[in-house]
Amino acid sequence: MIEVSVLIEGLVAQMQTTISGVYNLSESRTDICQTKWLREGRVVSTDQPESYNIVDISPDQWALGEPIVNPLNVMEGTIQLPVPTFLFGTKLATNMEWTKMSNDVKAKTPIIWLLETTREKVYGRGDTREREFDLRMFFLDETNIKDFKTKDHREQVVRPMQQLVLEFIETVKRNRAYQTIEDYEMMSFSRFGVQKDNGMFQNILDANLSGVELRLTLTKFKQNCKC
Amino acid sequence: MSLGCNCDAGLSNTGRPNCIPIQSVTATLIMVPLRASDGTLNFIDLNAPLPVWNDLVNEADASKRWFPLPQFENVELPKADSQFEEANSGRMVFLRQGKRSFAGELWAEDSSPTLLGKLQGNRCVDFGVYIVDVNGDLVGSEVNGGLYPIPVDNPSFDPKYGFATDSTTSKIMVGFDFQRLFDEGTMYMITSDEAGINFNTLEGLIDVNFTNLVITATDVTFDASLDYGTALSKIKFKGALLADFALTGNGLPVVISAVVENTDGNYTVSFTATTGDAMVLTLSKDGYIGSTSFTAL
Repeated sequence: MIEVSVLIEGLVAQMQTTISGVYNLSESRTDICQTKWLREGRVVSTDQPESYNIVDISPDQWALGEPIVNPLNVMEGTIQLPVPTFLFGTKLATNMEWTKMSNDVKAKTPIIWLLETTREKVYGRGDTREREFDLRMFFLDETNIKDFKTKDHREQVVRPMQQLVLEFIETVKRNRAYQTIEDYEMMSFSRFGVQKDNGMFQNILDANLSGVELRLTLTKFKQNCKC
Repeated sequence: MSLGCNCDAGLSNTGRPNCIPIQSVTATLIMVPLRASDGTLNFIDLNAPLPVWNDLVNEADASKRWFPLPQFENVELPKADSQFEEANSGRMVFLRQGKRSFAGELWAEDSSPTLLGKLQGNRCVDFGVYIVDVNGDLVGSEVNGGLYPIPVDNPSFDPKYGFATDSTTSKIMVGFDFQRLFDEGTMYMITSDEAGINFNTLEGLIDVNFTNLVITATDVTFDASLDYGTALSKIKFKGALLADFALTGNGLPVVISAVVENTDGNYTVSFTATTGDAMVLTLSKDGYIGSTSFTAL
């Protein structure tokens, strides 16, 4: 029986982290019909190879990427989005592990964090289902607490993280070893932290993050034995 | 033979080894014509190296091709009650097993009426199905060293469209009966580990239509689009390269010197041919199929 964090990490690894774009010469920007979790201020790469700093974006329409090495290059073709970092654990343990990972917050975001503990229901031999998990997951990315208004947090971070959630849900749907997800809950927050009536007063992870919490019930089917 | 009885051997032995692979929930079906146009039965030869699965989907001969369906939801495979003759004394004698039926739904983006139209045409073809379970295993009927598609009673094949409602998405509801005499005791599977592929990942070919042909002495320009899209704007077939086309003149191969995509889905294919040659331009790109004929000027 595979441990739940390994299963979810496997799903995260199966997520499609690329998008495709066509350079629009007349507008000097890249037309992208599905921008997923691409956002301003992120660095993405293409198969040219070249890296681009995203300086402007209109979700699901276009993005403006400035080449980092050769100014003559244009962003098009397959674009590699920032690959999410998977974390699993309690608040305390996750914060410690994530903090030690790197000093560069951009290198370790976005985050997909599976909160410990998880509840599992195990089915008997008369059922094709193996287990059912109640999961709480957080999809988080860096935010700018100094300059962003609430609207900016929502547009620049929460929306891309909602897209990351959708990609995760799509990945589960594509993987037939799991029952199709019908319903799930998403809770979005402009600032990820402990909040009281007088506002946000403490970060849960040691960084300024915004994002989405996903609550879902995931059901896995039994697989054949391998002996 | 599970449909009747074995009079030679008495009761059958019932011991079982550990770790018997069993099929799980049905995820999808792969439709396969029972016979190729040359009269041979279509099957997987279990005594030979396994085929390249992707080649079966991209097979040029449609009578040998595999046609994987999208992923089903709410699959049910009910079996009707067996038929018995009952004497006045209450004694019953087995006559025949009930028929096995299939019912499943294709949801949301898999429920296009265009796909419905393509499925409806299948009723006229004698075909069978390989069942693919959620673990990506392939289930068929093993007979004499071959894994055959499970025969379908094709006149019973009935795909229906379901409109979206306030609380449900649009659907294609597919239903059919398996052939009445199919022996379910012959069902075996090839696991995804053995095959080296999760059979759920196989996808059927997409038809490409060539329209608005403009023919000159040295090239042909056309629009390439799919059957899917809106009434006003079909989805364009974009990004094809020279290697994705093949050309013949009077049945002989003709060298394509260049392929240019002028705008999205609009191509110019350049060649050298003799005036009056019967030309056939064919798409040879994995996952797509299409061709058009014209006379060389």
